[in-house]
Amino acid sequence: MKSKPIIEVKNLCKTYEFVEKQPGIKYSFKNLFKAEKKKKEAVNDVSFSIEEGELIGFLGPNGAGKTTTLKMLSGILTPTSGKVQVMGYEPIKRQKEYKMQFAFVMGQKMQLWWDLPPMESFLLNKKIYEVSDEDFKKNLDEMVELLDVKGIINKQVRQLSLGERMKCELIAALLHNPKVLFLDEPTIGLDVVAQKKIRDFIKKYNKERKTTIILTSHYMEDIAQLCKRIVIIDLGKIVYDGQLDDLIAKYASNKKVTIYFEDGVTKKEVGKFGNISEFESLKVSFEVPRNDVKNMIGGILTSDLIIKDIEIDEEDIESIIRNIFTK
Amino acid sequence: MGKYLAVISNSIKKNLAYRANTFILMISVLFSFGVLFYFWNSIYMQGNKVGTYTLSEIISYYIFITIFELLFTSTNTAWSIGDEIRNGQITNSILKPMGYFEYKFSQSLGVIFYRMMLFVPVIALVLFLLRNYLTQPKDDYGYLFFIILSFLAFILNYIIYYIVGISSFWVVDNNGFFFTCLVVISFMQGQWMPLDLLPTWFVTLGNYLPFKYLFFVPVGVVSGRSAFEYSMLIIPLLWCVSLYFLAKFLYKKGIKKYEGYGV
Repeated sequence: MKSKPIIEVKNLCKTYEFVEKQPGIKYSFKNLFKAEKKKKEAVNDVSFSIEEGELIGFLGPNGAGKTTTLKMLSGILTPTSGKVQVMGYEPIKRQKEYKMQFAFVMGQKMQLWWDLPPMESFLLNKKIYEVSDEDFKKNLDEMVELLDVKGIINKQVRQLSLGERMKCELIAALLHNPKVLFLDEPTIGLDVVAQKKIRDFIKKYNKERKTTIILTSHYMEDIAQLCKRIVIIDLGKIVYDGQLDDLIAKYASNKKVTIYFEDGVTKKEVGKFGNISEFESLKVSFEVPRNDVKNMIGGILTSDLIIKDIEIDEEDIESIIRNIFTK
Repeated sequence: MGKYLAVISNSIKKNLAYRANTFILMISVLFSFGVLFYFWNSIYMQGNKVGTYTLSEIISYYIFITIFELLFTSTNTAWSIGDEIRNGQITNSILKPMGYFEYKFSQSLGVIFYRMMLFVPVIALVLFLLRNYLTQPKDDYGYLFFIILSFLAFILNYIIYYIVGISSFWVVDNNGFFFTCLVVISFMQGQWMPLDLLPTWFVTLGNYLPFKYLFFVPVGVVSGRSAFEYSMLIIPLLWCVSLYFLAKFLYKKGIKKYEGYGV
């Protein structure tokens, strides 16, 4: 017998009404009498379902509707229409039982008390979520070990680095062992080492606890390391819902290689190394197929051109999505 | 219940974290009491008078007003709610199984306990030094009534500033609006001058508002200026109840509006 999905979304819509402000006195006057209300469809008929224990990536350009969808799934935002079910609850009802099993970590919005050590916020959450002493100790010890933060949980949050803060935010959110976890840009602004630690942690946590996790990120590496399945949302609609491997094979075939030159170069001089995506005489970006990156860089380094710096970036989500539309 | 105690405790700890502040604060409080005394003393010594107040009465009035200001006000509640709405922190509170009103109340209680720890010694010293200038309550149980009235005043104070803070859902420039509210409320609670010295029409207006119960009425009882009446308990209680429902209603409406932009 197939079990019921832990998250079910059917025909979800969110429309915002706003008053269009146009410049000029004439329009200000007009608005006084009759404000023209415009509609923006942030989420337009989105449907999907998620099984318990899945670790899913939510991708999409800024303003695509992915954060709006997450907010409706968590109970922050009221849907305009459609059905949302998470763990059998309607999130917008904001029932206590729902909140007790749910957690949302938002990259920029901290829940830790700024002037106190993280430990105090942990203890507060223990009380809020009614976590038993044993569970608390067990969860805390395990996560502190995995994230390697033993030395800092008793330092004031404002004295911690961004990476340390983020790790503690994660711990605070997971102390009550939620069944469903949303992570909104969890590695934003972090250094490479911290990013990796957090990724490893999320992966292990999901595997061991079977927590259902939805992750949004602008970093392809986050998604690549963690998610088997991804959902791409653009312009309020689901553009892709399937396995990441399939998507990568199909669309994210390139890396972005940016070369900084000591002396100015011409398009003609560098054009032979690859497809130019951005050009300035001292800085050129190329779109290079993943497998060719090594060769391409080797070729440039052994040429006569004097290289100041090289950057290799993942093809960003925007261009992957652009590819999806243009191909 | 334990979660609210934990909030109170964290709130106290958070304020304690700023220890350097503490010492300076205590000195400045001592100083402000001193200024108060010498100011009014010199005014009266020169033969001036404030309305129907004797020197002792006016000194008692301002001493107790200052005590109230130090111990029983929750203006910080309004500011912190305003901040949390503006920077989106309140989203976290929506997602937690804890009432926002109750959460902020617990935080406020923490601040009050902290302030009491800090200022009670200083206040006790001041009351001792100025004991000859302080007037007594009229009633036998005056001090007991005072404690009950203060308790009510604190709750009413909290609810009012909670509502002011919640206004941030609608008012974008809440700095200006807050300041205006603070100024009006502090005037109407008797912080600047005794309310019974104001013109009759103003006093009548004040009777229909909750503010005089925040400072003026309790101070009047403990300084012996007014005799205790049971209406002094019932009316603020009614205000507490009705404003409580207003607060909850406004919060609901505010969150709805918040969904539209701030989240």
